[in-house]
Amino acid sequence: MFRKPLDLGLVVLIPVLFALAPLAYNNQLLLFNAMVFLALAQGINIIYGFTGYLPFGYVGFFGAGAYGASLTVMFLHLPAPVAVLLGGLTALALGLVLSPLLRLSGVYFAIASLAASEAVYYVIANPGLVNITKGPYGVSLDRVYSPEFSYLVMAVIVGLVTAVVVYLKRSHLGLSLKAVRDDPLSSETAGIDVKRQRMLAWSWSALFAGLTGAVFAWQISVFYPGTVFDPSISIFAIVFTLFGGAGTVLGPILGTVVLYGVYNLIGITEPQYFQLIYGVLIMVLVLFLPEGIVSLLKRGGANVL
Amino acid sequence: MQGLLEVTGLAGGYGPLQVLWDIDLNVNESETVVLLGPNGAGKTTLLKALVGLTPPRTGGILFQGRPIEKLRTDQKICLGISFMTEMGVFTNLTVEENLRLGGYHQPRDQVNNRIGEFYTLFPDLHGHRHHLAGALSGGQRKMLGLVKAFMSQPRLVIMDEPSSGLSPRFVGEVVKMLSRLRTEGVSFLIAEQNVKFLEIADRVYVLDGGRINFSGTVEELKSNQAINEAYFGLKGH
Repeated sequence: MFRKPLDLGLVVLIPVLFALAPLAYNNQLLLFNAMVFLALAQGINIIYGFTGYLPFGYVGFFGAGAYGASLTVMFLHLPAPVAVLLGGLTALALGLVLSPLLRLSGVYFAIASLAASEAVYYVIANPGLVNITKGPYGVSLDRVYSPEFSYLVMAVIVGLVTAVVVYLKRSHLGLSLKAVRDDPLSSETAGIDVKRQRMLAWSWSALFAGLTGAVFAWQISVFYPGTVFDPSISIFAIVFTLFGGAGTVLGPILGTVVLYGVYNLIGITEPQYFQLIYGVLIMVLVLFLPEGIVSLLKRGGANVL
Repeated sequence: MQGLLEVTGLAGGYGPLQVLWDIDLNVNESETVVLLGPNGAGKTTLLKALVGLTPPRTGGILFQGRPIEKLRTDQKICLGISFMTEMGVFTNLTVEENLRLGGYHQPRDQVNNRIGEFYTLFPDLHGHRHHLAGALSGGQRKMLGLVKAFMSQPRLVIMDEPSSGLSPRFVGEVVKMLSRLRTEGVSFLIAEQNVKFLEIADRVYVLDGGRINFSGTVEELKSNQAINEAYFGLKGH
């Protein structure tokens, strides 16, 4: 599976670096959020980079994971790591329910996925369900609150999602997904079960968003539906993926590190011009590097992972 | 000769639009059959119906004696049918990735061997193996499409207009290439407008207006004055 040292290096090195980072830099929440966006960017990479479906409502899976885990903790009183797993499975289940969306393509899919995530949000935030989801009042997981443990679990998830993307990049399955993205009809005539391959990518993508949302809920432990269904979470993750370069392993990593870094840097040093600078930066990069920063490496002749 | 593909009473089309009526057609083992017909005759639709890209409405399709009309496209491909579309290749993937996809269901080392064989047979492809297929010239693309169609070690290769978009010289090349590949004992069903492909045909069907209105050997076609004048502007003997 990992044919080159770089593969294994990335899969192991990134989580280890993140796990050790709090020793050198004391803003642990910022590091945690960087991991959240890294995992989400890779999750979007799985579905967008390999099949061409752009999920604008990706946050729906994130929120579903957060609520799946929270309800597990509140009602089943299970330990947090089990709740995280169930949160991931909740998002996976939502992915299966939403799988008919894959019949749409292009912008129609993007809009429908956005609408679907909003629908899930309004169901959960509905005051009528206050006894189950706490409706708009949000949930509190103070019983399992553990910023250190949840931080480490998030690092493991980052490692896992990187491993899946490396596997896709290297494997027969990944090649078939790229073929499906390029030309679904010809893929069928190459003997590829197009629907099944799309479902696979969609499920992996949903699962990781759910796991990430679940750990996020565990980390912050008190949140409102609007916190975990905030559409800007999808937008950020999509921008990070595209900025770095979709369809590669390195792209979303570089995109998240650079953009999230810049985002926080400007946010701290120039808070009043922050949105302006950030917006212009993204526009310039999209205009001049539409295939992300990894395309610079490709131009240099490197075979980018 | 043994029947490989047998089509009886096939009708099909797109949604409410019926394009094909009552098609009877068969291809035997190691036989090359050319399906001639003008633009809009329904050639592509017929091929798509055969491989399941458009579901046939009525009629039966037997492959090696087994009914396949209800199978999905990818399942038919696994049985040993290979389909070369007019475009033929994945333009955003490299030449080698295209070949690997051609042998999608084959064991990996077998695919590697076969890729090696084809590279010696077509050194042009070897030189371009890490380039995107979209960067190839029309002729090279066709060559890649052809080779890709053979990666799965098919029993039957179905081709949709292998001559389209090619200069007359390249059409000759493609025909030559096919006659070379024909020796492997594979059967061909080739939809074409270009009569040059009759050089390698064992039998011919003529499709017009969604119906088969001639079937026979090349000699029989050539001696059929009416068909020749109506469709191909060929002079009779």
